[in-house]
Amino acid sequence: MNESFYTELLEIKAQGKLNPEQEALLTSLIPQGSDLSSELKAYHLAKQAIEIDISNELKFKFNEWDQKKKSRLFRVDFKTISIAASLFLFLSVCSILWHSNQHFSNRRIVNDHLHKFNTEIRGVNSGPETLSDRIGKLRDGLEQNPTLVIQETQALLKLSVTGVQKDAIEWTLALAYLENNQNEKALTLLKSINANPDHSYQKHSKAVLDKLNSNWRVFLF
Amino acid sequence: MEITPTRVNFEFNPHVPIIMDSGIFKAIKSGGSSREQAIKSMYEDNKFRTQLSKYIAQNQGNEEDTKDIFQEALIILDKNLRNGKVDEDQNINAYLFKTCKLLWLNSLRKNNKIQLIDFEENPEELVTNEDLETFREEGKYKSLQKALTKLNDRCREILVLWSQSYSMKEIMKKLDLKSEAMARKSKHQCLLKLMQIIKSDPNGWED
Repeated sequence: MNESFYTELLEIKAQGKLNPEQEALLTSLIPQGSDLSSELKAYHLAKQAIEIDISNELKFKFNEWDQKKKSRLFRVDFKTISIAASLFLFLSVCSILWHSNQHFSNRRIVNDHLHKFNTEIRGVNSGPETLSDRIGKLRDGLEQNPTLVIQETQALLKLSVTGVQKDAIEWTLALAYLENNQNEKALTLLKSINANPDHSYQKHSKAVLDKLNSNWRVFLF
Repeated sequence: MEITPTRVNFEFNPHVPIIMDSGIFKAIKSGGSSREQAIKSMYEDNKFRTQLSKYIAQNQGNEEDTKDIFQEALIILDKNLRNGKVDEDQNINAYLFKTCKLLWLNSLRKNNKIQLIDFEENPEELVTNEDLETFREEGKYKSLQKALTKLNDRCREILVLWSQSYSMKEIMKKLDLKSEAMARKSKHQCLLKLMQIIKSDPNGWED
């Protein structure tokens, strides 16, 4: 039992806190062939050696903590990047859908072709002024009251108008159906226009039919 | 080589609000896992590190130097605390910074980067060069390391735990020993063995 105390007594001695009784006990326990100063020196060196081990262990820990910190930072960065990328992707998809929706909507199709109709009617038909003006007015009112335009164009068609004016009225009626979301009627009329190669708006009706039948439009609506 | 006298900036406010508190001293002294946690919290304290980094950058150092100095200062603080060389009522920030400062100045001196012209050692300084003793003597360091390698892993572990202020009860649990008395006896035997190895090595033993 006393032997186990030896190193503890050495420790107390090294701290300078040994009382005379303990000093005597320590002296009695010193191994043969050695002396107190050698033992104390050996004790100090042993402590230093252990401290080297502890400091190396701490250095290892520092390195480990640094690595963990770096990986934490990487994780944060990766997370941020993932969120930003997801958000960007989401916004892009939303933007594409919104623009596609706009592009393939009846309103947009009608607007696109109303412009062409207007230019061509006013340009080509400078002759029968009254009818052109009427058609122009119908075009202007198409967005506000497509139902009225449908009624008016149907009434005009009953007047047995022929030629370019008839083509323009049919075309306006098709657009009015579209604007009024009467797609079935619009499609029937557009197909009949498209089937007539002499119709002034055959190419326009083909373009509108293509848009109406496109996969994107099918997906969106 | 001619050394250019350099004015070194010693200004540093050691009272900057830093997360460290007196509980850290107690945690390190009490050893075990609380010691590791306390050292970790100090090591990862960015406020102190930023202040130190500024100081070292103002005095010809870089980020890598800051890291090295801070690590060494923490090792010294840990060692001195465990060995009762630091009072618990000491201002931990001031102590740590003073340690860093002395380490950095020693490093500058060692690398002949400066000849100090405006630094006077204050007798009341909290840390002295003696406190920074880090076994830099190459020969002795190696022979002590060699002595450690001659111990078996279990002995080495017991001595390290004991030096880290683990109680005999904790050592007993950690190493799966039967009793505290057994832990105490093992520590005694391992320490004696290490002392014997050191005494038998002329390189480490001779002054």
